[in-house]
Amino acid sequence: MPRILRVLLWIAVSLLGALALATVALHRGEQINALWLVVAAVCTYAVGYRFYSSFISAKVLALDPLRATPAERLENGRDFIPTNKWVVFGHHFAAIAGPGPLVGPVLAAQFGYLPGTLWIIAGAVLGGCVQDFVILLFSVRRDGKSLTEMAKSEIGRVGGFVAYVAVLSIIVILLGATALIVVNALKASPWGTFTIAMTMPIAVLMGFYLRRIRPGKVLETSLLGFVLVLAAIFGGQWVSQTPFWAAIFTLTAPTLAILIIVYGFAASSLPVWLLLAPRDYLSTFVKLGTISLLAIGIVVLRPSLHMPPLTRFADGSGPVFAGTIFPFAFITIACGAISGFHSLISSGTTPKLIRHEPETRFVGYGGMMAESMVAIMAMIAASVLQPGVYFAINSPAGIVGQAPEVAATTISSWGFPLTAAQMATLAHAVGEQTLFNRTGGAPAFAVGMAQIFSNTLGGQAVMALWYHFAIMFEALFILTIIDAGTRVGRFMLQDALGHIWKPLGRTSWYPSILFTSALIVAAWGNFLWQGIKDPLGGINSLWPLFGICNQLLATVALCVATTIIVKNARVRYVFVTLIPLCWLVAVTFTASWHKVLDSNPRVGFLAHARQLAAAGANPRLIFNDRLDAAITSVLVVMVATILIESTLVCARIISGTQSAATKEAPFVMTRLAAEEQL
Amino acid sequence: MTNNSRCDGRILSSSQAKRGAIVSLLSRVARIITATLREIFDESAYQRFLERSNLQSTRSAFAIFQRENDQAKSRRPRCC
Repeated sequence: MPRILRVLLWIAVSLLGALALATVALHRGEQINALWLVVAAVCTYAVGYRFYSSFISAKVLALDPLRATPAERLENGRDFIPTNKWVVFGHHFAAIAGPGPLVGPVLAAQFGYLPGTLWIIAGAVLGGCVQDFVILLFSVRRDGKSLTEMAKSEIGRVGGFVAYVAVLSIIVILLGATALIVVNALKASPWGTFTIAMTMPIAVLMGFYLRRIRPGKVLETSLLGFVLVLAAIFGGQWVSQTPFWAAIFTLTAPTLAILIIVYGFAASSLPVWLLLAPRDYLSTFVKLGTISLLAIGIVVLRPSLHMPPLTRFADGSGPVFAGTIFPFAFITIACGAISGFHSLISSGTTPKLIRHEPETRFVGYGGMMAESMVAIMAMIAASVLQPGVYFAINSPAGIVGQAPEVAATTISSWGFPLTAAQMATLAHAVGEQTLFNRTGGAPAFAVGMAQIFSNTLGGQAVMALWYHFAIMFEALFILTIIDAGTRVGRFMLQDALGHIWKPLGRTSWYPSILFTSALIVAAWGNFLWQGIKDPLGGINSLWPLFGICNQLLATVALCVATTIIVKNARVRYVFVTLIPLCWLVAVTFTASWHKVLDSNPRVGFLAHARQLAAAGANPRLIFNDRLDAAITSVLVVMVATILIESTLVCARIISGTQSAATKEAPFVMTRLAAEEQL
Repeated sequence: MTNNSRCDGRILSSSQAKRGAIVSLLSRVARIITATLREIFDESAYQRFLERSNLQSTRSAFAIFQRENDQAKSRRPRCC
């Protein structure tokens, strides 16, 4: 394309993006179309990718197309495999996309669609995409080393230890928080519970089919599993309408929590091929399909947003979770904007598949852009709901009241008109007994998604099917994370305990498997139990705690990246990672301060503990609050330590008192580029 | 300027050439999507395992592959 046309095209994209952002930000009073959010995001991502990531590639990282990657140098057909960039992109995206970008924006929509949307777009372009990109490249240049190893070798032993503890903590809190989402989505829902229960025998059947009947035909098996899951959704409707079966599958929150804890323990101890692997395949299949379907649905149907751009809850009095926009919107939405967890994937499997160094830009920066787009879709799904309906679903009974009439009156008094009859009709339409107090984000997302699709695909008659499809999709997603996460946590624990007593480190020794599985399950099970016993609905405490953990891990990743940039003598470009690092430090440290010390009992753990103690509440609830405060404080102190250590390393290098040697693998000329040209 | 283009010794009209280009683009996209799905769902990894080990696809070969693959898979974190 001629240069002048290219320039004109990018000017047009920038202007369109600016117009869309202005419309999203400045429009007041009337509903706007969801497509404005999509256009604003797509144009900003395009400009960010074309110019900012290109600047980082050339000036900060100096990507070298002639340098052989570990996939080429260490190729073994097993972990290190030079792979087509599109294939690596798909693989990377499938690994980073979890329930986080769906749940976070739905919860943050209580502030209105504007704060969350702006944070998702700006956070991704300037923070999340940069983090994923630089960590991926630095891992590629270090033979695919993990974040923990890089922290240890580039910053110091403390860095490695902090990264290890942060990873383990985030896994435990993530599992507790997401398990709570499943419990809240399935409690008193025979249809949903039956569908999810059926995914377990379906996964086992898939495992046997794959092993005995069609070895290696994973796609075929996943398709078969998907058809069976669809049958289970239809079967769930019948179950919910049959009194005998409905009674069996109508479970309370504590019962569901116990079942999920038992499931987590079993999944961690059973052979991978029997349950974990087939569920993982099934979950990925449904995930990729549903995300694509939702994207097409939003673009084709162009729904209107009913949520205002800003709600009165910007002051911190929100019913979904307490706290002001700053810092709480920025920790509630982690995965769609910047997520520390991604740095584990960017320094895990992905760097071992990269064929050429310049492809890290497409995979790292581009992969996060795609994830961010999923978060925008979740924000749209939450914002197409009438605000009254959104708050009725997401507010805990402790805030709005237990009885439907009382809850409807409370929500209407906030300026969001709602009647109990309206909610009863909606609950009936989606095949539930009630939609009040279904906290956690998943039910609200499911109702939003069902509304978007039922407007054309099948109409109101199939709204219940769409709703339960969305619930199944999220619960399946989360249960896969629970079984995989419990196992990863178990391995990490075994690696650590092996230093204390060698047999505990043997990953195939059954007493060690059972012991460490029990420890991990007990750790996240405790958070889950805490969530269901919390009168404020659990999400109010657990999701911010998870967000703080996740963003603290991102702080660790950006500390590592900043130190390496300084060591590479690129100090004048250090702002690329330093700005998101400073922002995250401000956000996470402020949020931690509020969560521990704020005098508002809905925000501060210690204030809540004092309130409970004064009211003579259950000592267990008081202990939970103090435990949350202690965990938050310990994490903050540890991250502050790594921050200080990396600052000292950078200062010594800049002043010339320390060698700037990095632990990069030596340069080897690539052969692949020449071979591909032949 | 001419509306025709030469390809493999035949004269193609511009619309035929355009159609050919679209078909080739679509088939390339389909190939990439299939390759991506095969990589995500470990079918490519199994194929590489068979080639590396000089084995035919059988139940026992797949069981060996799963043992090897599961070790790595179960240590991989799934993102939030």
